[in-house]
Amino acid sequence: MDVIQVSDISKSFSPPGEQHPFWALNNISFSLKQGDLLAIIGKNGSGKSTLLKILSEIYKPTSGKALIKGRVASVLDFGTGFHPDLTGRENIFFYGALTGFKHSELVSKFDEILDFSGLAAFIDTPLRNYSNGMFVRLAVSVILSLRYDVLILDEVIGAGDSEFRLKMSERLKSFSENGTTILIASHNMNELFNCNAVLWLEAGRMKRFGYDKNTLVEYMEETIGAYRQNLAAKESGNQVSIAKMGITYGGFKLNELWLSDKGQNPKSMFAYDEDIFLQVKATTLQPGASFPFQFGVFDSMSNLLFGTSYQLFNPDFKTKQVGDEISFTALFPKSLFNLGSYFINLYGLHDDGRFKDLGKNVAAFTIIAAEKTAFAPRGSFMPGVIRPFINWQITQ
Amino acid sequence: MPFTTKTITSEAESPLAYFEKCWNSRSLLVLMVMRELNIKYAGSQVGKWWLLIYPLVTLFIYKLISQYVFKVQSEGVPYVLFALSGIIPWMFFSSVVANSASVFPANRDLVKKSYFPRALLLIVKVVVGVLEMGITLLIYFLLMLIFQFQPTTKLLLLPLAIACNAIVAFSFSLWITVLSMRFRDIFQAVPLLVNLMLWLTPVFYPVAMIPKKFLPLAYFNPMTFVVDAYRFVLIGATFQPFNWVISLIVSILMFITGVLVFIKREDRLVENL
Repeated sequence: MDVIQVSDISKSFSPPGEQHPFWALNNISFSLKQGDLLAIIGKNGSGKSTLLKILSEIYKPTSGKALIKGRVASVLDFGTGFHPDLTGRENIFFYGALTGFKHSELVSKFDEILDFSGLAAFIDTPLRNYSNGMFVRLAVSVILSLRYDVLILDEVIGAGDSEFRLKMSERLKSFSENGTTILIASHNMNELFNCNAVLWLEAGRMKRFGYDKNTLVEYMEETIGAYRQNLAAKESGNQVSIAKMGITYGGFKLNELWLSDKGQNPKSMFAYDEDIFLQVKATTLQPGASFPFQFGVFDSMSNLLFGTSYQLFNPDFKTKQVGDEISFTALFPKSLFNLGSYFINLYGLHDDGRFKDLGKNVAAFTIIAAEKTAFAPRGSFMPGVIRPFINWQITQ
Repeated sequence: MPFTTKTITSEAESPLAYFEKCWNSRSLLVLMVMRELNIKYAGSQVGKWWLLIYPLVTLFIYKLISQYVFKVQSEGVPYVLFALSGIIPWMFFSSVVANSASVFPANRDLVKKSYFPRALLLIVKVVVGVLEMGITLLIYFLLMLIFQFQPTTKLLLLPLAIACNAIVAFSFSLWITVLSMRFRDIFQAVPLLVNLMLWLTPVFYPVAMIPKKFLPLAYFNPMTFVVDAYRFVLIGATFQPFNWVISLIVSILMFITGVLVFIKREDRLVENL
């Protein structure tokens, strides 16, 4: 049974005083069955939020039609309608009514909401005394304790601490298993891994729709990868991924920094089964100095994966004389990073163990699917930040 | 649970469907009213007293003016009761209308991130206004006792007068909200216009004192008819329904057109916010 049927929806905005309307959505059509979990992806401004607002009845389409069966809840922001002067309890009831629940339903669900939030001790305290984390917990608890036929989420599932995020993600999964149709717009691919359908929007048009998770991987490769490379290229001048640094720190002058293949050729897109080399060229400014630079490798959501430095590898290293140009090469093993994009921040290590920020996004790279390996063939989606090559064996 | 199918198209709903939606959201309306009252009065020391301070101070000033500057014939009723019977509906009207242009901007987050019939925001102001008026009416009855004023059976028609007052105020706020989208100047203009309208409404003087050549102006002013209706039910003043046919027609037209325009423009109001 189709729970949601979107046919040929277009939306134009014409703010007062503007001559030409702006088309935010063009001819969007798709349908979803009960229990589907749809991931809506696309760059900022691709029309994700506009589409969700139309399905939430906040905006009316300019043309086209959508049919939605059952009770819809849309969460376009955390704690919509929460008021700081009102208590947690009052806000729960207001929010529930805003989502279309009857008072009696909220009363019967109240204990569950309280239980999920873990905020029983503060429930009669005005919201302004809540910490940011408590605010989010309360908001999410209301949303995830009630039952809907259709749940619309816009960029909200990434909030809260990791324990709470896990709780949320489990709850969403059980929602869709119990027949709730869920639509999620997000930039964080790891939060979308439970989905079974993907809608990719580009400049207000449907680039792709289907029950194929691999679209997520294609999207990551194309969109985020291109973005990071542009950024890195912009910051490093003209040549891709070579940063002319000129940073002086701890007895060294950093001349160049880039990512390369085996032959030292600059490169920013690597296949999953390809080695990644970080090349660093630096001139010594004083004798007896140790290598002061540290590199932090981050994923596209700015999670730090690991840090590394030559000095950790070889603690006894000391410079010999002034004016030497030394080339350091770091090898990041192949079959380690998941498909997606990563960037590197540069830090200077103080003698007292503290770090100094020397440069953000000094290099960036994207991992794409390998042509040959069975482990990460083109388009095979796997959640997780890293994707190390794990050796499986069977005996029968 | 049975599935109800929702159809989303570019077309505005029929007024009937819209009314049904508002009716189905009544529990939200109750909470919105409680919330408004809570935020306005809870925790503030002076808050609730403003309800009394405002009419009493206004009353005091006009008492002085009427006594020393110009003589107002108050139809044989104590001037305090006469003036208050006009101040009360006027306060209600101006409390709803004066800030109606900023109702949407003040609730930007709510309307941009959730859906409910937007007219609720304006209805809330009307309901809160009625509740606040209830308190001033209680004082009014107290004053009646003090002045040993015997109300007539006409007092039973008070709910009807209040309803007329509410509909007029609601119609104005609908129109102002819709117009505020196109004309940004409305934010500044409305308080001034409300102030001007006060002097075109027989709040501090009886209709009988209006010079003949200005009478047509009074006939078109929906609030003239409302204030006269209050005078009729509260102090038994003379009321000639025939005089107010135009005023009544203007009110009804404003209400019907206001509702239609608002329903049609509701989504644009939110988009352009």
